[in-house]
Amino acid sequence: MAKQITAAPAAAKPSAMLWVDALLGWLLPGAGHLSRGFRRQGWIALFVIVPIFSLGLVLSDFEAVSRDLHPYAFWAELGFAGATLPLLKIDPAANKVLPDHQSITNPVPGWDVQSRGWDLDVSSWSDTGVLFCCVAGLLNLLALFDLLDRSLSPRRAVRTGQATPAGNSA
Amino acid sequence: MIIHVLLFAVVTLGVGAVNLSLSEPLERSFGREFANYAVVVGGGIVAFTALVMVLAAVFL
Repeated sequence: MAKQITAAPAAAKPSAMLWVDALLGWLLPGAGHLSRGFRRQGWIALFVIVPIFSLGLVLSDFEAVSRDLHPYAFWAELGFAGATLPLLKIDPAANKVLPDHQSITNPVPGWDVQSRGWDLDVSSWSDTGVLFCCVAGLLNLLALFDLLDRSLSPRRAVRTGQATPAGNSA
Repeated sequence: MIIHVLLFAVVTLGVGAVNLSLSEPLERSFGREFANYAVVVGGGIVAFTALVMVLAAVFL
């Protein structure tokens, strides 16, 4: 009796819309999943990753995203591009210490800041804030990989019981 | 220290929620899986914090 050989399901070809959805997910966590119909994953990513990143920004006094102050952490934070890229452009941290300012302890030329009693040191929660932003960025990268995997792998689509999104049928 | 522990718990539970939602199919419902995860993680955090506090009291 001849063995019945079943071929493994072929991987779906990525459509242009998949890359658009991946870009959406890169800019806003969960947006790619929501756009492709993976609702629960999308909402959870949105309501977990965005608050973690926001909390990190608040804890670090909005200094978590900076290529000057955190050159390595920046690449992890870049997993959430929708927040990281605008903040990189604004760069509140670098604005405090670099252009037009003498130093972090004397940011405005001519002002005797220390005698005014201002505390211009780095936030005491800065490290924790940077960690939160890094975790949020890396989680969003994980969500992006999951989006691509769900959309391209027919086995994953069968296992999760969800139809392969339109345009990516195996 | 309490705030540090709470922040650590927040980020750990957040990572768990995202990972659970992305690693379907789950054996049980998402809520049950997350509750189980939260109990394990919360217990671990409490136990580890208690250990650190005991060690600090003994050696510092």
